[in-house]
Amino acid sequence: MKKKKIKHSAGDNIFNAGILIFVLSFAFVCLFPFLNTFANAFSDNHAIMSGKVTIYPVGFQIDAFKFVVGSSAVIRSLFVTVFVTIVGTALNMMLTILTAYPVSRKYLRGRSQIMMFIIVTMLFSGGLIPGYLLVKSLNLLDSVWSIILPTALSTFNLIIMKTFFQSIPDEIEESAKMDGCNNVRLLITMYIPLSIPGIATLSLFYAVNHWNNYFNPMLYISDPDIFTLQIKLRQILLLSRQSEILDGLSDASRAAVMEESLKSAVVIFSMLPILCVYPWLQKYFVKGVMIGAVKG
Amino acid sequence: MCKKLLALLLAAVMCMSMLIGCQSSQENGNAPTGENAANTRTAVDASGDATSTAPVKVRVEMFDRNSAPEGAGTAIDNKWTDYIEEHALAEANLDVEFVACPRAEEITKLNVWMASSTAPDISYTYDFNVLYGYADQGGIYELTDYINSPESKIKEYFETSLPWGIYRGKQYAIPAVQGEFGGNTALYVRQDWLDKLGMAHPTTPDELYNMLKAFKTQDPGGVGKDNVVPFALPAPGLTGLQGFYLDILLMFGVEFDGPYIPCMPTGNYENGIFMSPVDNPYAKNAYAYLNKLYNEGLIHPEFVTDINGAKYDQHVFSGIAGLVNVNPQVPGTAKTLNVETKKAVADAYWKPIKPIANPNGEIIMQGPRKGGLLSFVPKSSEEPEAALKYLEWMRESGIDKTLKIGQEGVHYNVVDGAIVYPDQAAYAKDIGWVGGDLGITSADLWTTTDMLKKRFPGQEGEDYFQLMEWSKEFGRTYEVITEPRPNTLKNASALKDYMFEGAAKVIVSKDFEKEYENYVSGWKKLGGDSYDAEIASALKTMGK
Repeated sequence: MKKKKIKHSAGDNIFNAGILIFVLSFAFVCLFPFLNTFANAFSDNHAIMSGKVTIYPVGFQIDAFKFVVGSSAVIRSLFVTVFVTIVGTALNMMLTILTAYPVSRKYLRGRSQIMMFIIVTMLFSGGLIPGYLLVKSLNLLDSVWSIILPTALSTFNLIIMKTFFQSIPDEIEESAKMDGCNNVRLLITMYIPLSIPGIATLSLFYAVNHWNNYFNPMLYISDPDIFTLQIKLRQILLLSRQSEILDGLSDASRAAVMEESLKSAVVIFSMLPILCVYPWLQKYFVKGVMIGAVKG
Repeated sequence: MCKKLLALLLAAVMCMSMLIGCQSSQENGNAPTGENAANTRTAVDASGDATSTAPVKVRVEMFDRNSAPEGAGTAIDNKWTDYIEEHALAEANLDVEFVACPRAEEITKLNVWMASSTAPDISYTYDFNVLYGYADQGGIYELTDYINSPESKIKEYFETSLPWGIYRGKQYAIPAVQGEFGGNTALYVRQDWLDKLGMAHPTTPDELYNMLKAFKTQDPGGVGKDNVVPFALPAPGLTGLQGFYLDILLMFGVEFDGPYIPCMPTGNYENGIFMSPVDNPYAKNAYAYLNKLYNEGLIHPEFVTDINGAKYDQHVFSGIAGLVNVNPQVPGTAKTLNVETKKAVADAYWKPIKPIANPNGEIIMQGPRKGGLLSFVPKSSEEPEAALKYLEWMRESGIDKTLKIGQEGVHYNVVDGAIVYPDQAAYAKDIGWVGGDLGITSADLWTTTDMLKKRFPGQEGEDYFQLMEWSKEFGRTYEVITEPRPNTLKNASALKDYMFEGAAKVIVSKDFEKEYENYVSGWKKLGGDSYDAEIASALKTMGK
């Protein structure tokens, strides 16, 4: 049987072509800075400063990348960040699921009051200094746990998870309970598998948040051995003649100048892990944009 | 009924949580101060009576610039911190511990430390306003009594820099001692272009104008008349930019009578009135000159959009720029004008111009300041005497010399009385990257200008030496206002931002007079004239 193709009119074709061109040029505009940074990472330093590099490398060299990969400080900070991301996300998801599930059960007494208390923390917080004092009094300063444990449960994500659980039909629970299933088994064997899109999306939110987290590590961690990648990145990108001149240090002894290509190489390096993980999770992310929307 | 009760309870909890948030920072600010002050008094009494044999712990802040070479450790744990810790323990009975502070987030981190009473015993900053803020709020020790006591040698070692750390008549900081030269800026010109045109260095603003015009019309570099950028400038005023126009303002009579502004001379104090470089006739003439340069195409038309200096770098390093106003170019340092421009144009050579005299016939350059890094002791420290002893010991033991210039025979040799580095890169890798920040008590006090000729032989060395000599002769530095200025400290950063934004608008305007009037009236609206008036009265109180 021949497949029937829908015929488009000429007007439709022109319109489609116009939209395609518009979207492609918009995508290129978004993509350009990334391509430029990528090209800078492989280009000769002088060519970058003379403005010759656009979207392809000029004066190809891989010294910058070699330096980054060989720099034990940067690799170490990468490991710290990976540790924080993996452990942090696991902890976050465990807390989110275990909090969202009971609160989504309609028969739990006082669940709206509990939700109220949790939502209040989303609206009000102690601020920067009281937060610091709290972390200090818990002896978490200068430890990776200071950026994992506080704010381990995000209220916003909790609400999303709760909505997701609520959208699963009650009949499943009823029928399982009739066959003698208890709550824990219900959660593990029924609800979690049914919520995989939501869980994947929230994991991605948490993971990216941990990966990009700059301010909390900067505040709570003073030991250079456990600096995260973002702190190292910022230090490298801002290491420049500027502060050195102000500090009166611009003399011949300070030959530590960060090359432009090295800055770009470090930026690309910090993006690579997330870029590798993202394609696998992308389908969940697209699906997950609708999460929390009203289900019929 | 139940719901109402619960709602009431919830409302009460919310109110309480808001109040707790309000009070806590104040309480925590005051309470530990009270406790620690009491503790310290007893500690001081105790150590006055008996010589303690246990080493005293001193925590010292350390800037982390992430510049540690491979395998050298970290900023707070490396060969030289170990060296200091070992010697401090042996020679001064001090158990030193270094605490890292990322250089880029210095002020934020310092504020958090101070507010939570966890700051190191020796903390420091370059920013006077930050220091004065802490002093006003009672967060740091007054060091006057400690340095006046007979055992203290601070006065002896920090004689020239101590006045820099006085506020409201009391000593709050111990500034680093400064050397002979430094802190300058200069106009650098492409000497190869001048040679092709057969022109001499300009000595008046008009000659400078003619020179720039000749660059544009005659294109001595052969880069194309449309491509020449006679005077390369990035967007005005972002701190520490590679290029600026400070020396143009000096040329027209603006002076250094006011407190620090980055990349600008700070204002004029005449007949009891202080004028920042906005509502200031000398500044107006300078901006009129820059406006003329801009309208005739002698400054790049899009310079105000170059906020990260990338276009500026491009113009300078690809060889199409003729004049820049920069910090001095230390010969041989990476990324300097000559090193980079030569990669594009082999016989390019940047030479500094002697500063041009202002309308009063005076030559003024930005020159060495009298004090540097401001080290202070937060009130959360229990051993202020030990902290000061650390600073004393650094100067007394000669370790500051080692940290600043290296060890004789190991890093440098003395040739004909001059300090010469046989292997610059090895020196940088071994100690250069960290010595500058560990050595908080002094700048380089041991290199004199004479030594520069031997250290940097060749034409570049000669020029650098000449520039440093000019700096010694004509250098002026900004005034440090040691009286409180409560109104202005609130507005200071908004005013500074306005100063530069308005300057950009003025330089590119088609109707200069009108735009400058707008500039001045905007300045006044933001509180600029009360800012100036406060400075004037502070200067008067200081006896100037």
